[in-house]
Amino acid sequence: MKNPVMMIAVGLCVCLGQLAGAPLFGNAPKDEAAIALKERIVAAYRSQGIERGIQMLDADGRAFIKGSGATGKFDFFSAVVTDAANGSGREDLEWRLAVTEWCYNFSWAEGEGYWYRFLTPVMHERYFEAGRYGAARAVLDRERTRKLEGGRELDIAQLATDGRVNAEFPAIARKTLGGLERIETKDFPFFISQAQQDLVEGKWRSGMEAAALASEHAMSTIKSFEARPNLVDSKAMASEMTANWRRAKMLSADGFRFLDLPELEVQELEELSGFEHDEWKGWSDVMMGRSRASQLTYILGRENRIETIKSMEEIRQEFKKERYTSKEDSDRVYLMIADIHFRDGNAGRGWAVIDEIRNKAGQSRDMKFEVDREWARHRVNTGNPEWVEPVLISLLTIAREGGLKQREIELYEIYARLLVALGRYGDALVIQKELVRLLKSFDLFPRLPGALYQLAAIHALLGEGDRADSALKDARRTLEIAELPDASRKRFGAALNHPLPEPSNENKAADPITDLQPMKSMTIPLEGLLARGLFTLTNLSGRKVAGELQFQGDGLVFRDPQEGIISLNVSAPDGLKQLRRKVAIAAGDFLAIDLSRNSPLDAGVSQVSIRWQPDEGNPQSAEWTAEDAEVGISFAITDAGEYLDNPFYLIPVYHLLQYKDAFAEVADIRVVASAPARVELYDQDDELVFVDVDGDGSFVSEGDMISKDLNRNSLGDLTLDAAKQEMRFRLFVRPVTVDHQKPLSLDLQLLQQGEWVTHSTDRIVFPEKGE
Amino acid sequence: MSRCLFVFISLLMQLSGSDSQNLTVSELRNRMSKDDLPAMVEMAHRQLIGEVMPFEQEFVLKAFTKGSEAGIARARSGLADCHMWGVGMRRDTSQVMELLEMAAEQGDPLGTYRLGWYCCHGVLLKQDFERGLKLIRKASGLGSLDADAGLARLTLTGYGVPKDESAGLSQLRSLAEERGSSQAAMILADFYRGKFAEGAKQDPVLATKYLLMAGEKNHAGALVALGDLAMEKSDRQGAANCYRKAIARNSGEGMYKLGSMQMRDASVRMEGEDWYQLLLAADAVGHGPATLKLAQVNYHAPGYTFRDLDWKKSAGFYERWIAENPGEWRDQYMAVEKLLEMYFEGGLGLDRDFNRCIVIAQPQLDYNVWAAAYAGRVLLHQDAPLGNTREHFIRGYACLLKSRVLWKMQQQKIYWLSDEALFVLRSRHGMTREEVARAEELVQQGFPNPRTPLLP
Repeated sequence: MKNPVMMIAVGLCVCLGQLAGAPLFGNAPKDEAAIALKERIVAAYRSQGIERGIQMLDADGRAFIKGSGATGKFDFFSAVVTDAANGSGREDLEWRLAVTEWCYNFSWAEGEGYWYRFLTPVMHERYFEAGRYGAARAVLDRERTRKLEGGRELDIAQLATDGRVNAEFPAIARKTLGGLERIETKDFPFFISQAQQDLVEGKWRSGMEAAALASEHAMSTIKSFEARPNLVDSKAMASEMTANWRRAKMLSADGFRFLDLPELEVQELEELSGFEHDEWKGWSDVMMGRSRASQLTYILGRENRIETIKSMEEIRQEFKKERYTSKEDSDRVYLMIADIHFRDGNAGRGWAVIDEIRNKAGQSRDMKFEVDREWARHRVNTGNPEWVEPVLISLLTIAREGGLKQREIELYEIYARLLVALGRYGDALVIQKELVRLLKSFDLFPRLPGALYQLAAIHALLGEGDRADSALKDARRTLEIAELPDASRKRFGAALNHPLPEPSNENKAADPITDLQPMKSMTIPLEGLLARGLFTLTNLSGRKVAGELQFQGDGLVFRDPQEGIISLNVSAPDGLKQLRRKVAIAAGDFLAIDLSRNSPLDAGVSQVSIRWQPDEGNPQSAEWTAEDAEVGISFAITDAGEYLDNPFYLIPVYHLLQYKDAFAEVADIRVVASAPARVELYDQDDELVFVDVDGDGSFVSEGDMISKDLNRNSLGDLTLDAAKQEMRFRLFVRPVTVDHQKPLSLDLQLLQQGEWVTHSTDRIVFPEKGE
Repeated sequence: MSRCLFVFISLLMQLSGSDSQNLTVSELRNRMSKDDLPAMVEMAHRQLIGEVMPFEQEFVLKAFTKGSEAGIARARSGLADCHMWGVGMRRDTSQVMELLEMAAEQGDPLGTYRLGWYCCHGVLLKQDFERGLKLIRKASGLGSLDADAGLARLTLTGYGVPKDESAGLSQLRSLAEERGSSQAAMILADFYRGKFAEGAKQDPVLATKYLLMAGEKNHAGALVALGDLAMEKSDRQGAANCYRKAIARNSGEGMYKLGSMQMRDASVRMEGEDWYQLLLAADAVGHGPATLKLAQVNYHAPGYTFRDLDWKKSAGFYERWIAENPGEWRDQYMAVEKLLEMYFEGGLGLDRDFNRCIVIAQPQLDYNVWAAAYAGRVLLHQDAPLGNTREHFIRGYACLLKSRVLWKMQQQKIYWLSDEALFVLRSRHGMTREEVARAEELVQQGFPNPRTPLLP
């Protein structure tokens, strides 16, 4: 120590013995015992499997942490987490997930706050990799709630708006921190995780807003630190922020891809790949961005094929050389090259690439999905629809099981085109309608004109001129009001100006099939509120179905007619005992039958029998019973039904939630099935609330997803509108296995002061074979 | 009788040390080599006031301790300074007044002046301006230049005496420029830097002149101020050098400022310097901001280097700082918040402790937003660690409402705890309209507060 001044200062510290051992700041774990224990745990995993490794973490690891000081604990966590990320966990994703999960759960439960915070984005990423989107969402919700309690609002929807991110596409608000100055730099990676989560759940608006906020903050931080190179953390901060910026930009590009706005997607990608920085983190985003930008510039006509393929091939080779990125990145670039070949009319080369990737062994589930989807898409595009349907159905199943709404939408588009190519226009109509419903549900308005045009085209093929015109008009109106970049509007507009096809005689329609559901429904309203019931009559066939609906009960009166709904009052003083109405239902369409007791003051039991007599085919009947109102209850799901399973479609199971006081603002809801069943719940606005892939009522399985959770407790919820006292919601249920002897029961439960209370139990009965 | 005895003893002590004060440094060293205690005390004194460098703290403390045990008045006053400023030891004020009283009783000019100044300003004892002024005047009469400067400062500022700026300035100029008082030069510098009154006219040229004058005499405060001036001109190396000089004078502020600079700016680090050790040293000499900084550093290290973060240490520094700095309202708020956060979250060597949160929060519930907030968060915690009756939740919610009331009283425009947050927290335990109304009623009745137990 040459500096005399320091000799005094440090000498003082030394003479004050209690200050000895001051920290030497640095990251690498040094505690030998911590490192040795980590090695033993990894060795146990390697020799005896994941379970043994986790057992050791739980026993020896826990004991070590409990008995260590700050540095020992830190080093143990650091060693284990680093090994899971870059060591043993790199070779075995399941082990990586298990270790991360143990550390994350331990740190949350036992109050290792630093590690909990560090692991939050890591855990999110791991669940994401594993397709456990519900669990990933729960990680974000937990952190958002923790921050919120501390006065930091990380919910993008709650942040102030200051203009628009992109003047050409004003749907994405520029979010600012105005007033919420308690958000810190270390909070910003959270917005990236949120963007990733929202995009996969189809919530493109909030996802892209979060990505924009994160990228803007990252760039301003990079600039700020680059201007102060003397600070010890300048390089580290600029590096970290560069990686954040790259990820956020890639997510923005993903958002524009989801919206089918390649003109804006390419801008994001070019910005991403054009930002020069020597930081390695985020390198794969930059390279992938370059590749995608090349593909898009070719598609948009700004680049020739040879140059495009050359630059993409270079990127593919770069990826192949790189050890520390996903080994499948090069194949992803290869798929893009195949796409260029197809677009250039060189299908042979395209198929050669796709076949080469398809034939590779040991692919991840995600890669397999991508290559199969591309195979199916190009088969349909090149007029080779044979063999495609089973592949598409399998992909659709995977997308549904994974809760991947984004992918589900892409697949519906391909599927509808496939069915048209196969001449199954009725089936195509059903799929296209479902696609339009999903696009509306996720407010994907840029894609809607195209989807409506496709719907019009299918109607036209079916010879339903009026419906075709109506859908086309709808498409034009949607495009007219949509705020889109000029180039995109022009592209969409040109597509709508193609003449609709002539009616085709090739429709391979199935026999008319209709389905009246539920078979039985019972209602017990809240005191002072109406007893209500809802039935659906669905046309599952590829052509129009006509017939007569007959109602029998006391005091029946038709209410004002509405399109697609037959409404009638029951127990009306001047009503009749029987009513009939002729109806016709278009292919793939459905009719709602809305029953309502005449007055909330009506007492006793009301019953209505419904009979559907189609012009062709077998009749069906259903029963509705309304009982006396329930006294002393302030909110409840007031109905239950019995359904006959129909393997051809997802039966909508409607329910009514009645409430006298909306103070709680939300009702946490779940459905517990008696046997594994996929349950999707949509709210009164037909927006997805949750997907529970096995119907166990928890949301941690692979593919589970919570899309609405206003009170941020990791449970799906229904929003109570203070201006109303009831809301309808619907479930779609698909049993995983069918037991013809044993109906599936569904307990609909609401969370009341920490306890799940069953309000209603539905039954789904499986028809005997041949029934 | 006692007065006669005092005069007698004083005479004795002055006799024993009087010639030492007039000796040159080499003469003093010569005598010191023969274990001459008065000479050692005099050398220690000259080092303490910066007249002789380097400042050998261990020697100074040892000399004053021995001299004090031998009854030398100057040693007692010097030892009081060592205790007060942490010279060669951790700051410990428990014996300071006793030593100063003894030194003043024995007629030591510096000890008499220090005691007078502390009396005037209520440092370590109840303020007694009359006695203080009397003591300062006495010290002046005994020949203390510092006392003369102190009196001139009182006249300049009108603190406890009729204000006469012109006379005060004139006296200070004379002391600084003609008699070499670094204290007077520093007071003048502060005057021209506008330190004595808000909005006072400043004269940077004169301020710098007097700072340089005081700095030349190794006045620690002046050296730090010169460093600050360099910082204002973005001369970071120049600032660091000034702080180093101040550190050589055992300036806690200098250590703190240099340590804080070096913490993030490697370019101002010299070989062998360690910013963390500087902060520890500043804390040891009782520089409060250093204690706070250490708490913050151990809470959250700068940049992306976390390995040695230690919340146990951080909590320790915060708790001590809070106890030692009750008047620092603004920083107290932040410190209490961080402390509560650490006990609430746990980690980095500190065990989560919800009960400790309540203990820290309870005395502050009348005024501290974060105390009320964390009390609420504990009671409404998902796992309900302190009880899960409905009353726990109602009280927890009342705490949150109280924190919002306090926040509003402090005229903050945006609630720290949003309506959304309240909704989420009450929703967590399914609180009803009636339960929320009851919580609101509790707040109107003054709950929570330091007197009523938080837990039902």
